[in-house]
Amino acid sequence: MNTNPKGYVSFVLHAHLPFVHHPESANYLEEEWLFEAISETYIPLLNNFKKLEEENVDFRITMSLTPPLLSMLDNKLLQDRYIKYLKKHIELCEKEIIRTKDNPRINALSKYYLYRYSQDLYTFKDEYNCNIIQGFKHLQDNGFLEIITCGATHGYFPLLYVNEKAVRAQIAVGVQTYEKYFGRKPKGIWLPECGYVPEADKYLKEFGIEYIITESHGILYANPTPVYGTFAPIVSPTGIVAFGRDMEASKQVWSSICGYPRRL
Amino acid sequence: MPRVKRVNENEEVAKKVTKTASNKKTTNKEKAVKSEMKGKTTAKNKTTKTAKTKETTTEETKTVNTMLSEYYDLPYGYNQTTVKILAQTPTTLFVYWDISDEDRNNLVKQYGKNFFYETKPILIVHNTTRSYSFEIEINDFANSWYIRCQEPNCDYIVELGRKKIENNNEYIFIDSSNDIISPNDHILFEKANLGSVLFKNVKTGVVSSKDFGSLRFINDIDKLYGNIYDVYSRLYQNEDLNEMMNPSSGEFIMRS
Repeated sequence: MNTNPKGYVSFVLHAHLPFVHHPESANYLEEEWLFEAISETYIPLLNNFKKLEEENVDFRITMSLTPPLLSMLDNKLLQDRYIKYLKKHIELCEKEIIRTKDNPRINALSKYYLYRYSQDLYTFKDEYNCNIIQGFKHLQDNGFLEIITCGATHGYFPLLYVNEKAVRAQIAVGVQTYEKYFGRKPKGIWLPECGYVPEADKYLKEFGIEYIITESHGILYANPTPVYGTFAPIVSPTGIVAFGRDMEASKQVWSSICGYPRRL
Repeated sequence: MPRVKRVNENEEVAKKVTKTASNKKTTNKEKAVKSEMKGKTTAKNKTTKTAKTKETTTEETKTVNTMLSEYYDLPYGYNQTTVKILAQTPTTLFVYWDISDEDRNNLVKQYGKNFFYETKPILIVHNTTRSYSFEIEINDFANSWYIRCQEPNCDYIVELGRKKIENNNEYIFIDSSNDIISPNDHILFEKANLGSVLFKNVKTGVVSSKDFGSLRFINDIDKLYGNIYDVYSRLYQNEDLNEMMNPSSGEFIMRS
C-alpha cells in the first residue's frame, strides 16, 4: 500500500428518480423509469459490488440513494409491477427467440436478454426478496459502501431558501428517511442538483451532516478562491465540508459540447 | 379551493367494466387582477361543484373498489402582502409579489376608490452593493417578473410600489422584498491573494495556517506562482479559465 499517495480519488454515485407511483392506473408509462433503472443500474451495481465483496476487494465507493427513490423501491405495488414488467419482457424474449430462429445474430441477442431478464427476476424476487435496499444496506454495514442521503423531495435549495423552513424540512426528512432504511444517521448529503446556499449550513449542522457534494463551480467560485481548486474539499464557516465534482471527469459524462451526450 | 375529481380505482381491473363518470362543476375564479379593475378587492376562488359518478359493469365483474383521487391546483394567492426575489442565474432575478385584501382595502381607503386605476405598478430594484437603483414599469396582469441585472455577486433588494399615471413623481410604496446576493459567476481571481492558507482538521477541529509557498504541491510543481491564476493554469491545463463553467451547462448558458 502506497503510504505517500500523490492524491486521492473518490467515486460518488448519485442514484435518484422522481417519485412516480400511480395506483389508480393499471399501467403507467413513467413507472418504467424505475423498472429500467432497477434492471439496468441497481441490480448490476449490486451484483458487481457483491462480487467485489466476495473477492475481498475493499472498493470503498460512496453512493447516494435519494428519499424518493428509496420510497419507490420500498413500495409493494411498484415491486409487484416490476415483477410483471420482467415477466412481460421474458415472454417477449421467448417469442423473439422463436421468431428469429433463422437470424443467428438477432437470435443470440434475444437469448441474451432472456437470460438477463430471467436473472433479474431471480435476483430481485428470490435473492433480495424484492427488497434491494437491503442489498445496499448490507454492503454499507460491511464497510464496503458509504451511502449518503439527499433532500426529501430533491428540492433545489437555491430556490427554496426564500422560505428557510422548506430547506430545513428537506434536510430533516432526508435524514429521517435515511435513518429509517439504514438504521444509522447519514454522514453526508448529495445536495439536490448540487445546489448550495450558505443559509442551508446551519440546518445541515443541526441534523448532523458532516459533508456535502456540490458542483465544480460551487467550489471554484468560492470566496476566497480555494488554492487546490476542486482537488481538495473546502470547509464552510460552520464546519461543513464541501466536495466538488471533478471538471474533467464530469465533462466526459455530461458535457453537451465535448462529452458523451454531445451531438455528433 | 381544490377541485376534486372522483375517480374509480382498482388495482386488479376486472375484465369488462364500463363506467361512466360525470362531473359537473362550475368554477368561478376571480383573479385578483381582474377584481382590481372592477374596483373590488377579492382574490377568492369560488368553486361550486356537483360530482356524480355512475358506474355500470357487465359480465364478469367484481365489485370495483373506489378510491378518491384528488387533484389540487395550487391557489392563485395566499392573501398575504409579500415580495420575494429568487436568483435564476447570476444575472437574472425572479421576483413575485402579492397584495393582501386587507392592504388593498387600506390603500383604497387612504387614496380613494380609484387608486388602482389611477396608478401603475412599478418595481424599484436596488443594488445596495454598488449603490444604484433602477425602475421597471410592470402591469397589473402580472404577479411575477424576470429582472435582468448586469452584476452578479451583488446585494439586491426589490421594492413594489405604485406611481400615479398622470403624475410620474408621486410614488406610493407598498412592500419590499427579502435581500439576496446574486450568485457569483466567475472564479474570483481579482480577489485572491496568496498569503497563507487555512487548514482545518475535521476530526479535531483544529485550524492551522500555512504559508502558500510552503505547500507541498506548490514545491512539487517546482515553480513559484505569483497568483492564483497561474496555479489554476497549471491545475486546469485543458480549460479556458475565464470561461470555466458548470460542465453540464455547455452552450445553453444565457449570456447577457
